[in-house]
Amino acid sequence: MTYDFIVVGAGHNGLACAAYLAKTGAKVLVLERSARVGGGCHTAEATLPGFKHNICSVVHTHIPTSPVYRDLELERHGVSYVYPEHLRGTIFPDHRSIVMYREPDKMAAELGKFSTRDARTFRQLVEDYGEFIESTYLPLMYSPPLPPSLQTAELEKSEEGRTLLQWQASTPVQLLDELFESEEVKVHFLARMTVLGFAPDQFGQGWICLFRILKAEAPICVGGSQQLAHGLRSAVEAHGGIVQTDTEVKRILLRGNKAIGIEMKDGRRVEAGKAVITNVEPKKSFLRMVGEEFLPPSFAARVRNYHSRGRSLFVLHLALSEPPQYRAGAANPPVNVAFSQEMFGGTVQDQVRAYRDIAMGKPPRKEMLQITLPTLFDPTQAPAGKHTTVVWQYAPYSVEPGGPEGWRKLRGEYAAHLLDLWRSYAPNITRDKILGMAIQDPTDTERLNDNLVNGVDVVGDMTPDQMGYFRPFAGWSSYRTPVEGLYMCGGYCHPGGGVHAGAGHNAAAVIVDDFKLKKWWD
Amino acid sequence: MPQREAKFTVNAPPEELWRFIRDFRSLCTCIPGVERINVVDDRTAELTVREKVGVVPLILALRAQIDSEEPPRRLHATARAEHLTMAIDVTLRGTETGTELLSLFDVKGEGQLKAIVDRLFERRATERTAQFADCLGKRFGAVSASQPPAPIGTGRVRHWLARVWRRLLGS
Repeated sequence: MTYDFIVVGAGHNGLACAAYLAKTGAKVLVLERSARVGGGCHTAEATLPGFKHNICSVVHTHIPTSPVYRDLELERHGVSYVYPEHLRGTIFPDHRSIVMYREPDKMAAELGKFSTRDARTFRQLVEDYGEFIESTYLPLMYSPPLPPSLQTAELEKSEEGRTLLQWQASTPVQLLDELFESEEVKVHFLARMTVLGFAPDQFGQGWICLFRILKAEAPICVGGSQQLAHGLRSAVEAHGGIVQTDTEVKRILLRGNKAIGIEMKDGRRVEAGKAVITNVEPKKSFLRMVGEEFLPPSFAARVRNYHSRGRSLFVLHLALSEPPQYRAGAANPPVNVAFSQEMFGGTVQDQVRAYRDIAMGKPPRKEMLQITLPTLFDPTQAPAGKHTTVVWQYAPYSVEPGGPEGWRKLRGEYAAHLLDLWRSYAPNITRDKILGMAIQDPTDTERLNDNLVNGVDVVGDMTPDQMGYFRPFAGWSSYRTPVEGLYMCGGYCHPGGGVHAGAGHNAAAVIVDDFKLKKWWD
Repeated sequence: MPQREAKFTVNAPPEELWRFIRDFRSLCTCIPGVERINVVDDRTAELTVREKVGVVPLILALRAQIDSEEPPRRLHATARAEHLTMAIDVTLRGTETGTELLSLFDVKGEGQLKAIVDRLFERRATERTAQFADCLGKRFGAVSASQPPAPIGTGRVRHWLARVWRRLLGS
């Protein structure tokens, strides 16, 4: 059996890439090892019947405004989003809080409760950089990454651009220290900046962090994250593509240096007339499915060195009989109805220390908590009047002294500790309000989706050496590989992990160009 | 590929307006963001244009060339920079009150900055075209925009170009 394209892995990027290709008229086959499609778009009844829990991604910040949503007409395929009015609430140990708003004036007023100067600074940042971020961030996500030389060449032409270059080299903490005076304001924005796993004191994240200061959105997929994957699958199939689950690809077949198809675990082979596209993380794709001996040594070295050593998440999925009521809500009621509540201590140093603890294999004892209740905005995700909650605490994959296995002993006590911490902010969440709980430690995250190596939920660290032009490897960020007819489309490619389908979209554009197919979009 | 069509009525005869737009130096006084102009020859000029994106300037070194003209009625020019090509079609039509100027800008971002250039033009074109019209208004007196500058679909462009070509070819 021959297809034009075989996509290995039905995560959202693989499905998006397949849908774009299928709509060119090409014959497309998507193969997925597990019984469901979606990868990190995973919704399951993890606690009790009727309670739909989002196992990995909860929010799809960029999808509704992305070209993918528009081009693939995902709304027609059953994908829709709801938008919480209040985005995120940062709650401090003294129960004061900052709620994040889309509207710059409201946001500035919220910051003004802590510092008039910081409110002014925020307004000025919006005026100075809002349009720049607006004009560059999304286009850069949905196109192959720029070489650093080009970015530098454009920015170094002006003083303002040179300021951005300087910020680029700085750490999130340095940037915040330069911009703001209030510790609370810094804590609030730092939590936003580190959401993809950047360490607060890591150099080289600079101006990209501006995006997280200036832009906020929290679209929730109606029915749960899985619904996006279902919509993408529907888009593939609507254009004649085939999506096959429960089918493990064992090898990518080569003839000389050309990918010509795949071999499944049961020995069956399928030919790819044009190309094989892998959505599977680099080490498995190249060292296992292709074979190191078939790769140029320098490329194989880059694959071996691709790293996933950053922080992971310790996750609790809870079925609740009522939503949490925060002490902070007494003074700032929108906190209770924000998309998420974030408790990251009272100082910047709390977050810095937590990351250092994590690097040492110590699960932070202080709260590094993000709590989300999708059911406040999409009641279809739980039985009437009930709620699902996801509790995220930043945590290491490997704990000292037991390594990853150490979580087996630790997880029950750590879950109870986190609930106590949370309860100190939201006292109504007593044991009787928790109808069911599922613990997902970092090793579970990897077990549920082994693209998330070491439980790193962005498919490989998003550190400066693995971002943009360097993702996954310098010189190979164009979705092509040294093997002719073998392409990459996963979250390990630019623009990285998270649910935005950028890599799937960009890979499809490159492939369509290489095979001179009709680029029906743009 | 972002496009914009704009139509103005200018209080001047076609010949006067033609002299204005045909002179790079005078024309550039009405193009927002032009910082420097070097007229290479009668049909070619090099321009430095600064387009600010917030506080961050995008500085473009453009080479503009008149490809074809039919004085005082039509002109086709192309401006190229490292990351974009802009095709410009201008048609002048005498009216009872002056001259109707129809301009069509077709901007194509190229290479690795394509996505940014296209998005930026989409965001800015309407504002910049209005500034151009405003400048003409100050220069020639009464000017009215017959219709606000607006993005146009490829179908409309195709039909408009077909009409222009039919006229040019006399068919």
